[in-house]
Amino acid sequence: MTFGLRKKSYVKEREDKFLSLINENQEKLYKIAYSYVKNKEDALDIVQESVYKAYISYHKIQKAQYEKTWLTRILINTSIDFINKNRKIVSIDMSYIENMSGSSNENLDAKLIVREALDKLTEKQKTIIILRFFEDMKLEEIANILELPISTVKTTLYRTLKEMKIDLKE
Amino acid sequence: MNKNSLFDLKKDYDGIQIPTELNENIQAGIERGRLQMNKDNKNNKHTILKICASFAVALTLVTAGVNMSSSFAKFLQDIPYVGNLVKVLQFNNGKSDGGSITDGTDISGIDSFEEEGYENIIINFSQNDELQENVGAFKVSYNENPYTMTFEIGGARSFSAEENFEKLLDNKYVKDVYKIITLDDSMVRFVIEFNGPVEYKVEERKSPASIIVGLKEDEDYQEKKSYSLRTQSYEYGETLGSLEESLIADYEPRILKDENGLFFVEIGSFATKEEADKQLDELAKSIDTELLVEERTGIEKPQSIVPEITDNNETTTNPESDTDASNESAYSVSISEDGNQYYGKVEILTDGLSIYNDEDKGTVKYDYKNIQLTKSSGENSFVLEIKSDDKNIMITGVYSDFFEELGKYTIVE
Repeated sequence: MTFGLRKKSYVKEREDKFLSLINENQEKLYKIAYSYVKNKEDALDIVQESVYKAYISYHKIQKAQYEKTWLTRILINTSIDFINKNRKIVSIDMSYIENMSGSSNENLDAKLIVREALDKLTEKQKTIIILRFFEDMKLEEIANILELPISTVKTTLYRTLKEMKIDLKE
Repeated sequence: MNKNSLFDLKKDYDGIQIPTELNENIQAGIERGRLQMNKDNKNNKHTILKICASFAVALTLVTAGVNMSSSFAKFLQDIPYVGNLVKVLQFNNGKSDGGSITDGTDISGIDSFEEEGYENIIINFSQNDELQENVGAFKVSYNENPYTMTFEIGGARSFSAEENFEKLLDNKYVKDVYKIITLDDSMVRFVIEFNGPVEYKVEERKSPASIIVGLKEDEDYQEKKSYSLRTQSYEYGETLGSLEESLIADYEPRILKDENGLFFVEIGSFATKEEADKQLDELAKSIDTELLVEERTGIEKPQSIVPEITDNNETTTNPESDTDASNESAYSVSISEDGNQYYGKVEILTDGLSIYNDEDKGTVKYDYKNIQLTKSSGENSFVLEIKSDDKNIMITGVYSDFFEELGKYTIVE
């Protein structure tokens, strides 16, 4: 079923576009936020804050093709701000641990090691890993989101994987 | 460590459960954004953006389930939610119905928007501050002279959207919208009056429950004169409700608002005066209420015709009458006091108004200094509202020098 509302004014049209953008990306926003903070409440707070920030600055977006990049950037910056402000308090959901319970003991060990390695990364490194491997983004997209040259993203990625002792060739 | 460990983590990432509260938080973010933008715009003396949501939000609610906290309830009135199509109503002689039996419904939202050439009205429903899944059993009918659509919502106990009626006036085809008296407390009825003949389509939608009325100008429609067999005009109240109820078994009455905001029951609408008169004669044998035939065309507002008024001279010659109201300056009026309707007379005194009740023969005097008077007038009659600390009285009478006289002694707003 399609039921696109065509608003009378430009403002309404813009609002529609914004809501579609949020609608399409909301799960992604939540998952990325959750990957940073590892608990539901904080992840929801981050999403809410990001949606708020996005709403009040949406009119500044010039080209529609950059919307997703822009929105993801807001979410990531909001997540990192949140972590920096709440660095001393780490609250991990039980579900985060339960998520792993479906795996065999051997896998569980391996995953725990990767997770530990992931937690030791800087926020920038972690962001690149999340976007590249979990969100399957291209390096170019990541570079746009982080507003960095592709070469820097590439170097950071390989250095990060090396630090995590992950060999992609295997 | 190998690449697979990372892929395992991706599986975990993909499996992150999306909480039902996500919608609520997103809505809250959007609402905060809107408030901020409105504030900014106010500061900049720009037009305030009108809050309006879209299908995108509605779809989100549908796919992720509707589970809202009470803090979210306030949004229900502000944002229209478009559900999934259940059916497009088929009309037969201007009548149709839909929905399924439910109870405890609040008609919580009413709004207007444009889409694909249609000016649409959307009606939303909720229960306990949560959007309702399915529309309650409802009936809808379209009538002419004046052009109206009357909704009857079964299982509805409240109508919080009434506060937002003015939103409908944005719709270019809507002239007025008003609730009508319903003696059944598990039903709410309201009338949307159009400012011309309209082509309409009505959709029932679910998840969340919504009714959408699409409106277009009916350009080909030729206006017709009609003869309305109707009652006199009354205040919104039980008198009107009982009157309608006494007619409902044999007729298909509709309640309409007249030019002065009073209400009447239209028993039927006929193409010729002869037919209407014939029906009037028939009815007069069995009904104890004064009826009349009114000629109307198109959007013409029905006249405010208040119950027959006794001539002043008769009163003065009445030997039993020994009240102040027998005075020549008494005006015969219809009075509505706290929902009770009666006939009587009002006399203008130098220091106050004296109201005589024809039924219990009692007279009550109201000093000008203790009351507030508000006037509204139609073509043929006037309405005077008398407000005191503990009472609210509406007086309706035929147009005369009443206000001219009254103006000599006090101020009428």
